[in-house]
Amino acid sequence: MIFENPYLPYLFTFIAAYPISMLEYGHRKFRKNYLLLFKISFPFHLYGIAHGLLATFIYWVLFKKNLLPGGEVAAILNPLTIGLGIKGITNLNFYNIVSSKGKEPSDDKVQIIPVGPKLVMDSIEKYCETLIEDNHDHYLDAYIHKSIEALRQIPPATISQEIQKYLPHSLPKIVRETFMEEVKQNIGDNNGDLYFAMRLFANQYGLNRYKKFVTHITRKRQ
Amino acid sequence: MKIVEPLSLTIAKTLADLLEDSISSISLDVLAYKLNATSGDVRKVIESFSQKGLVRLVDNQIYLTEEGQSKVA
Repeated sequence: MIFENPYLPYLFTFIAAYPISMLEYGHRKFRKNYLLLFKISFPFHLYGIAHGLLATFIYWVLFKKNLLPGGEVAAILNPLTIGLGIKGITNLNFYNIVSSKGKEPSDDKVQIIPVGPKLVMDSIEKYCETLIEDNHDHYLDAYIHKSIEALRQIPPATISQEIQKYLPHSLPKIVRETFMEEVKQNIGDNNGDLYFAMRLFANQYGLNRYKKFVTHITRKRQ
Repeated sequence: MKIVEPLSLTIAKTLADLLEDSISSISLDVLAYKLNATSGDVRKVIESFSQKGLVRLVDNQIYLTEEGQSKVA
């Protein structure tokens, strides 16, 4: 009997749609990290299942109350209309406008707080963002710790001199000087421990630039 | 572990960005407010910048000097 349910494909679509969108999302943001994709998939699965169950429940209620139109057209039309309806509801964002009571009337800020089903999706995405960020953090750390081993034999003065060559060319002097000062100070403060200085470099100007710098300086040495 | 950007670098970047927006100067208090820092800390950094000739501090207004904006390595 259950296989005659015209809404079943619709339920499956919902259950499948979220993992698929998750895969696309995860792939775009952070490639080749399948463990991370797996972790991210859980909230999306749950959301998809909840969505599907809601759609089936609404169908069931309508069916019991004999509110569903009959005929062959209905079998195609009904899933679509209910589906679009649910999609509309879950994508809705109800806004709650709160004006804070500031002391000065000129500083009257109007805050718009979204309250609605879309919050669920937004919070899932935010959760995924932090997951990705933390993961990227670990990845950076691992690379830097590994590269510091290779950099250990090189005197710190040479390192800070070589870093300067690997900064972006369009950097204004004020930024360049400040950055170099911070790097030198960091190496000095940590008694030659390069981690903080190198991490600062990778954070500011990207891992690619840092990798280029490391391969350059280690090759030169050999 | 995440590394917080040092204040002096944040200030340097903000000043360099403001110049691209063609704003010639910024007051010290506004800068401190913008970066959510105390004006004492910002003043310390700005004074060390001005000793190197990268910025000019006149009546609490910060101006970037020619040298500070130059892009020669």
